[in-house]
Amino acid sequence: MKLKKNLALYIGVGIVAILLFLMIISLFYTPYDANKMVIAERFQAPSIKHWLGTDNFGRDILSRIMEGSQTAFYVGTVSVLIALIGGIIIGALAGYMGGWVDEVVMRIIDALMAFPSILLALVFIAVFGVSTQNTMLAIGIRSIPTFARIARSGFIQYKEFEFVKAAKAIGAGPFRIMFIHILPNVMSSLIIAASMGFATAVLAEAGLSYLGLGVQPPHPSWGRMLNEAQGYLMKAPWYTFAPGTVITMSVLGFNLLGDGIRDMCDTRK
Amino acid sequence: MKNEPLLEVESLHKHFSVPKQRIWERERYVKAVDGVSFEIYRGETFGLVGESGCGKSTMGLMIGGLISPSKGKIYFERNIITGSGKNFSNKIRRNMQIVFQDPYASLNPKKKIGWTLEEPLVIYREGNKQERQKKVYEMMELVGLEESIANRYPHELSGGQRQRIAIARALMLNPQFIIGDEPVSALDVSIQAQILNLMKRLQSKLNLTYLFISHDLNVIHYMSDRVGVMYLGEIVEKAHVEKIYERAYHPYTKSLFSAIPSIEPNTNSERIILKGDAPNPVCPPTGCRFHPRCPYAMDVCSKNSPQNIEVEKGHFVRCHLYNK
Amino acid sequence: MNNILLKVEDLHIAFHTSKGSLPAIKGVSFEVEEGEILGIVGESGCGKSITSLALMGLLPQNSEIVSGNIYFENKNINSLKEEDMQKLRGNEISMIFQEPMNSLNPVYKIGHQMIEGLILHFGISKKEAKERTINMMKEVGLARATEIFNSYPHELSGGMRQRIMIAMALICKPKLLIADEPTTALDVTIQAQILELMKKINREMKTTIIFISHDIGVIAQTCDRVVVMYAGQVVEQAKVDEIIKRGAHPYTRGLMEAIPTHQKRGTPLKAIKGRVPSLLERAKGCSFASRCEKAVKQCTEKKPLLNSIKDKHQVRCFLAQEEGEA
Repeated sequence: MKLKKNLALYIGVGIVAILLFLMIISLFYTPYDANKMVIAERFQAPSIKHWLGTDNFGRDILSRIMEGSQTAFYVGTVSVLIALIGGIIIGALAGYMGGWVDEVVMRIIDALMAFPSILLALVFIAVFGVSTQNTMLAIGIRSIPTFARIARSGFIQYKEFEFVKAAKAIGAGPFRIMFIHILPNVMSSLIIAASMGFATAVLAEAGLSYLGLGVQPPHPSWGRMLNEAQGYLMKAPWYTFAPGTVITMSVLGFNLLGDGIRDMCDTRK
Repeated sequence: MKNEPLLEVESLHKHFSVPKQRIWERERYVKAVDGVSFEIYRGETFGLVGESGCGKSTMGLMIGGLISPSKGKIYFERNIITGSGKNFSNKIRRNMQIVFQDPYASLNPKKKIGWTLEEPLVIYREGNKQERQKKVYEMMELVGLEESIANRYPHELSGGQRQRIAIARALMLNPQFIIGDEPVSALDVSIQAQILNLMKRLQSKLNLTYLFISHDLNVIHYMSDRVGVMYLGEIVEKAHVEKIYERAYHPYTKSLFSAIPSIEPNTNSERIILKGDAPNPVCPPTGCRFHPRCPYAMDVCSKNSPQNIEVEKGHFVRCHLYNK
Repeated sequence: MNNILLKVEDLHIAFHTSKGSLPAIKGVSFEVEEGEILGIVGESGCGKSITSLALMGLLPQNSEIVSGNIYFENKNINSLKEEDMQKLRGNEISMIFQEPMNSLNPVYKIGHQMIEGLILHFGISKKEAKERTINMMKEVGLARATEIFNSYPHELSGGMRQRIMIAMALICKPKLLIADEPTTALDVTIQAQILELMKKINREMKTTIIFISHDIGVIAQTCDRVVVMYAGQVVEQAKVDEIIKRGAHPYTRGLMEAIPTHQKRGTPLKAIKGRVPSLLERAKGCSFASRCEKAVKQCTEKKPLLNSIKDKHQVRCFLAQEEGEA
């Protein structure tokens, strides 16, 4: 009954599907070569030829947005995976083992959470150098605490369940209990967090690239496009508009998706 | 039936520490189990009965090896199984299994029934996929379930069906000894009777030994051969179940029996309604732990802890009334 | 014959779910006489709790009274407005539940929660309310009443909390007290205390009680008359002794035979086969037919009616009616 009212889920799925579709198409086809500069066609307003116009080097903005979506999904997926796997391992150990392990791990996590995320990423990149890999690592590591906390509370909750005792009674070892018995039960809340984490990662990548510390040229990145566009805000407003919109939409889409999944799980209970 | 004991429990203690309220407070303990001894013979059912907080479930978990005792020893087939964790070898472990109270919580909601039943065999690396599958179906038939249930999830089944699954899982490794921790308490009467019958049938068919833990005297009396009555971490009376039913010595046992709501006219004894609640096990009463609620309490009861007295052959009572 | 305090007439209640509207209560009728303790017994899912919630006007949001009437002192109360129902609740009809911990707010002291209703309903002073509350607490056997008045719920034991709930339910001197499994969460020795208390209240305060339980033993010790429910219907009702000695419905007998007792040691228990049908399953004939050992052809084809086989003994079973006639 409530599924009908779960508007967030539908809008979220819709937006994410469109972005995903755009990304997949771009693997095979873009209207123009995203990096091809045509000086003669600088700062063209949106037209039939260039749907979203061209930039300061005469590159087709639509093509660059499409290729940029690859970067966004790549960075988002990898950093969420890093965060998810790291978070599950840390959360499982802390939650399941409890005691001093929990105490030590969670204090480290608290310390990590006290850093503003962008500052942490900046420090990381300053130390290890500018590259896409380091961007993903920085974003991923910064997101570990969120996942670790969710996993930990799930593990603490489920380790007291009788089915866990029952598994112990038939002789299951701690790793079997943690990852085969408890993890599938905690997974739904982690997936919700992953969806929202994806949005955060896209935003973080855009932010770092905007500062010139993320994905390096000539790979198109939404964040760097925004950075380049701001100098021409008056002259070519469409240039700012395009990356700004896709960043907003992807953040909105993944957040709505996460909200939607949570609501869906709630009604089932 | 009197042969050598399969399981012996010797002066078992379990003290849980209470979280401190203030930092300078002295560490306090709940004495959940405080010096319990008994033995269970091969092929019999030993019933452990008592009210919530008396420590009977803690006993089950300790014997099942899920928590370790603070003090005392447990022997299984003459081998000590307490102490360092390594002594509790897989060989002994698989010979004793537990059936838990709540069939809604004791099965993993995300796993199909077939998977859950197969798991013990997977853990002990028994047979190949087909052999394991075959054993799963055999066991399901034994506990009275259709094969099609193997492909279902726990939430699709009724409480009775789930408890049959839990029993089947406990039997997958052909154990000799089953601990039933309130195995029928969460079930409706009509289903409870089905499960009790099943457990009885399995016992004679597979020559199982049971430790049957319950708060329900009716169930204990129906199921057990010998019974131990627990109060605040101690066994206050222990005897053959028929003897205890004919004549309960300990005032607590008497009051328990008289409190059973029965549809039969109460003929065996007058109703004793106890005053007050069971005390907090963090600071149990001095002397006999039952004395504040006991209708027959004497001066000595609040001072000295009563000894275990054998009032008849094989009938032990912990009460000053029977001091000689 | 005593006055009829409460009368339920052909009550139908349905749950609205994603699978459509499911009938949970299918034509329940019974009467409660002034001054009696009426037991309602049945297993989980038989509809005993939902019936009691309907009497209080407290049905969950996804359920609804489809048809039927509830009369309290000859006044139809299921058409009452929420405000009027609110006045009735607590004042004339009170209820206690299975889990006393959930019914008390953990952040307020016991006393505060107890006098709240009094001040609200009667507009009396705080001092007077406290006095009445403490008197009522002593009445229900709470000896250290003043001390408990200033305690928080978590500081009390389960038995004490249930006494508090009973005191709260009785404080406005209701005519009818509905007790929904009030002793199920308690230990046997505490249960015995609470059952004694319920009988004392009935005797001394002349409160009429509807006592709901899954345990026919508890019902047998406490009640005057019993209504046996199965799958949303009344299958049998009679005086307690009559039910225990001459229960006529196969389900009633099955419930009693399934209880393990010392006489049954060594022989298998007579279990009722199968399980309670879910709300989705709809039988064409008698809803118990699929589990009944004695079922004959007509049981699966026609629905039996609730008929009297004796004075004040009604059974919904074809076989029992024949026996009665023979």
